Amino acid sequence: MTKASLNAVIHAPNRLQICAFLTPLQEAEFQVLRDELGVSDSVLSKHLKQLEEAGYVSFRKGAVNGRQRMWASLTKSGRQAFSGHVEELTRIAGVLDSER
Amino acid sequence: MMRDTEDVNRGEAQESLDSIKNMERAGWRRAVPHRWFGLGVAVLIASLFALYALEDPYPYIVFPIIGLAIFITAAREKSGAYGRDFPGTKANAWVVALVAVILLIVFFGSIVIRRTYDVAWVPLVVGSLVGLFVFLASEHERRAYLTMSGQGRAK
Repeated sequence: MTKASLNAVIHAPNRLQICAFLTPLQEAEFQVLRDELGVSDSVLSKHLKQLEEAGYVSFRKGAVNGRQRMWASLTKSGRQAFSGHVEELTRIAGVLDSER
Repeated sequence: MMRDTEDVNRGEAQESLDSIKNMERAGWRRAVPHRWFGLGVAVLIASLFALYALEDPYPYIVFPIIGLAIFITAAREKSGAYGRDFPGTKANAWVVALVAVILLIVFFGSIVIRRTYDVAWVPLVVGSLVGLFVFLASEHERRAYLTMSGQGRAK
């Protein structure tokens, strides 16, 4: 086996899905993220908070029809970290496959 | 922050990659612009160009500009997610910049012709062509989004 590193902040399944979903997007609304992930508001908030603390996600608040809405987007460092994480996963899948 | 990959076997890595692929497709699917969006933007931009057929267009050109800003903002807010402005390579951004420069040259050219030769139909024709170009470009983008989302071709 080869030794390398994965980003623990991103590798958790829900956070991995959040980053993957946000990758092709400029921004996504909180409710859209929640529906796509199929998790509760509190679970999504917890994961977004962890990504924000790592500097991978930023937020924008806005009102639509008098209702407060929150939009999330990947930061530049978030995109770089996610890209590196995907490369590492691809390498692991490929290397271990070739070792068989 | 980093995790030793010896803890991650091939199956787990492949599972994560599959999950990433599915979610990226979901993101693209959410960002697919509606056909009416492209048509609306095309009509508003075409009207901005065509208004220069008037003797004094300046009191009116503010309307398509404001309309465009409101239309794009409303469509984005309604969709709940929207794609990056220049997805893919830097080449896409260069193509968009080149097209914008050409459109500006055509735009000012039509104004000069209108004023110099008093040919009112030139801005109308230019506006129609630009509107058609914008709509076709939006359809191209829409198809690209549908392909990336795994939905293949436009509905």
